Amino acid sequence: MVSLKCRTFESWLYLKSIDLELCDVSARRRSKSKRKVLSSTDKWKNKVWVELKAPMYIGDQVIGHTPAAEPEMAIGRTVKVQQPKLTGNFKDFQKIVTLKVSEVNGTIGQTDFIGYELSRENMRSVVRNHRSRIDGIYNIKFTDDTRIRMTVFCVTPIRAKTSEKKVIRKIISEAVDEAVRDLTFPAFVNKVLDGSIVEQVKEKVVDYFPVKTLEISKIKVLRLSKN
Amino acid sequence: MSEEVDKPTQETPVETDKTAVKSKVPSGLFGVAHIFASYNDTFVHITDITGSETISLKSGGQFVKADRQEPSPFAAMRAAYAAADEAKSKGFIGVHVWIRAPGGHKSRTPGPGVQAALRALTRADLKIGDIYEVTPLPHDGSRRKGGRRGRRM
Repeated sequence: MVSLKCRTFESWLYLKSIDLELCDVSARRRSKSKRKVLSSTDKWKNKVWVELKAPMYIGDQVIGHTPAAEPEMAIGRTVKVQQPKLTGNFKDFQKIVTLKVSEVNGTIGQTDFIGYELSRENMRSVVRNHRSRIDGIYNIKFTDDTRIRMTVFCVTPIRAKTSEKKVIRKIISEAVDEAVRDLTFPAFVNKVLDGSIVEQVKEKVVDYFPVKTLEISKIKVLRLSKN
Repeated sequence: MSEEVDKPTQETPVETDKTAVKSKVPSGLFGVAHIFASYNDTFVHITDITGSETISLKSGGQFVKADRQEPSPFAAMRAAYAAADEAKSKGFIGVHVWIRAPGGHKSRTPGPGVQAALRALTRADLKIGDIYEVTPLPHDGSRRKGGRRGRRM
């Protein structure tokens, strides 16, 4: 029986000379408080730094680091990188490559190419009055079963009629098909990054109509091959 | 004598722990500072480069008392300084900056806190990498609230 003089359960135990550590209730209370303190102090320090690397077919460069409670938790995270960091050509600073962490070995995270973008500012600066902007969207399937959706962005220095725009879109479509026909996805990514695909397409279009700029404005990977 | 012998044995494990923690953090770390500036508040949110792990999150409202001062450059500056200090203490030396306004069918121009926040990040000895404007712009979008005749007070 708890005597009326004892205000708390612990003081009653003390009076009865019972060891506190042997008592389940008090031990549970202590462990709870300890757990709280540990979680608030060590959460950041206990994180592992995962080194993110570009895909092997691009060059395997180190992109940066990300902290994670466990290395596997970095899988699925995406990073946006300026193209010069991958190719070293500072001319391409307005092109942004999106990479996604696909697997982690130890503390090294390997990434996959999942997207490409031309910066908004660049596109806005090129489009003006008395010029025509022509966008073409093309779905491409590679020999290794990867599927992507690519947007080509073309601006002419003088106004193009609607009929001319249609022809330009058709020429771009044919040129892209020809350039991509026998490529695997990694080979295609390398050609996008060094600008050779854009050059091939531009040569075909210039024969028909003058071109101010022609760039790949967006690439979205719809399905990556398992290999 | 016993005290003299005991002291170094107690200190050494503490020192090794500190070095172990420091060696974990890689050198030359860059994060991303997401600055969200509206006409009602300014947020400075520093994350790692993937945006998945928050390093510091401060807002203008944490540093001023009156609601009307939340979007002010002063509040933004204080928020950015506080966020930068926390990031530096965790080993970050620089940030890429993503600036955004509310966007959508709301204001597409960022509030008055952007410039002050960016300036404060620079003055807090953080290196500034790339600066992107990432206001979400709808390709089509929904209708702005307030009805045909606007907001009536």
